[in-house]
Amino acid sequence: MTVTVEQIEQVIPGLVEPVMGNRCLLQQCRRLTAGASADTWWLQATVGQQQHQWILRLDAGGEDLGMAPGKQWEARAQQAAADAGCATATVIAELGEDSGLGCGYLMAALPGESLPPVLLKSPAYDTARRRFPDQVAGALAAIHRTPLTGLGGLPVLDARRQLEQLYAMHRDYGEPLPVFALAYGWLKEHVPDNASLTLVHGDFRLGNFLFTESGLSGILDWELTHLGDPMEDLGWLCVNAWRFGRRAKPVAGLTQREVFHAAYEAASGRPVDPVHARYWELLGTFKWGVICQYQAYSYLRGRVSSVERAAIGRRVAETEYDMLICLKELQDAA
Amino acid sequence: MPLNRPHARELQQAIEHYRQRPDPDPGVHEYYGKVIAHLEALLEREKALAAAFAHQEKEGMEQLAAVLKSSDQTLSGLCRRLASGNVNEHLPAVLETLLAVAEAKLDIDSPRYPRAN
Repeated sequence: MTVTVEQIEQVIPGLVEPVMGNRCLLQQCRRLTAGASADTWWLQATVGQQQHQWILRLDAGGEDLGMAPGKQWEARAQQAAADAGCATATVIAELGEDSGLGCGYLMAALPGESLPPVLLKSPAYDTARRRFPDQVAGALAAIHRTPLTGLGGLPVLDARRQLEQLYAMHRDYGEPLPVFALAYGWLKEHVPDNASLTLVHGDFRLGNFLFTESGLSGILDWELTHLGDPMEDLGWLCVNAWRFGRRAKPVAGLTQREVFHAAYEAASGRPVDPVHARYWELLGTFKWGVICQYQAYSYLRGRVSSVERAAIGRRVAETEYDMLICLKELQDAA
Repeated sequence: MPLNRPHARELQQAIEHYRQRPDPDPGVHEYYGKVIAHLEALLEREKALAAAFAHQEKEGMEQLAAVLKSSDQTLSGLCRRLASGNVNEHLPAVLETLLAVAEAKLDIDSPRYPRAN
C-alpha cells in the first residue's frame, strides 16, 4: 500500500500515546527510502515535554526472496537482540495489518553514518574503525546469545534449506552456469554437521552498521533475520561484495578474519572454526549471486522496469569469480 | 559459462527504454546516467572481446568435460554433473579451468573488479 504523510499523522499518535503515557504531537514526517521490501520514514515528535526522533518501517508489500520473516517478527527479533545487549534501536510499537498503515514498526532513530565509502575512508571515522572489531563482534555475540523464547515465528533457515531454496531460484532462471552448479554441489556435500541454532541477523555487513565518530551506534536492517547457524553472520560479513573493493581485508574491508574471530570468541565464548565460517562465506557469495540474478530477472521478466536492475545481471560475473576464489581458498585450507 | 543475461541486445533495450522515459528527478536522472555510461562501456568491451571470449569459453567447457570424464558435453549436462557433487578429486583442475573463463568474463563485465593475488 502507498502511505501518505496524512495517514501517518493520523495513526502514529494513537499508537504511541498508550505506550508512552503522554500526548504525542507529530512535528515532521519525511520518507527516507521506498525500497522493494520496506517503506522507511523519519519522524520527529513531541511526547509530553520531550522531543523524539523515530524511524517508521512499513511493509512495502513488494518483492520478497522468500526469506523475510515479515515486519512484526523483524521488530520482535530486533527488540530481543537489544534486550540481550546488541547495539540497535529500541522498538517503540508494532503495527499490525489493521493499523491503517499496514504491517510495520516504530523505533528510536539512532545517530550516525552507515555509508560504506565514508566509513572506510573518512579520517573522521579513524576511532570508529579502530574500535570496529571489538564493538561489531560484541554486537554479534549479543545477537547470537539472544534467548529464543518468544521468537518462534521466525523461520528456521539452516544451510541445507537456504542452499536448496537458492539453487531452485537459480535453476528457475534457466541459465545453466557451471560455477553456480559447482558451488551448489560442493556446499551440499560439505554442510557443517555441528551447527548451533541461534538468532541470526541475516544481513550483517558494512552498510547495515551505524557509526558515530566514536564508534558503533547500532545494527540496522533486520528484515532477513531468522533462526539458524550463527556462523552465517560471520561468513556474510566477509563476502567480497561487502568489502567494497578491499579484497585484502576480508572483514568488511576493514580487518582480517583472525582479528574479528578472536574478538567474537572473546565476546561470545563461542569458538570459531575458520573453515565453518568460510563455508558460510561461500554460501553467502552464492546467495549474493542468486540475488543479483533475482534482480536482473525482475527486469527481464517485466516485473520492474529499471535500467539499474538490468545492469546488476552483469555483476553476476563478479560473484562467479568470487565463488571460485573462495572454493580455491577452502581447498587450500583443507 | 556464457556471458550472463541480460545479453547485449537486452541491455541496449533497457538503455533505450530509460531514455524514452527519463526520471524527472535530476538527482535520480544523474545516477541513471552513470549506470548507462557504465553499460555503454560494457557493451563496447563486449563488441571488442566477445569473439575471443566465445572461443575461450568453448575450449574451457571442452576441457571441463574432459576433466570430469563427462559423456554429456552440453552446458546443461556439465552443470548437472557439477551439481551432483563428488568432484573432489577433480576440484583443482575444475577450478583452474573455470577461473580462466571467469577472468575472461570479468574482462568484459567488470575489468576493474579487484582480483585475488
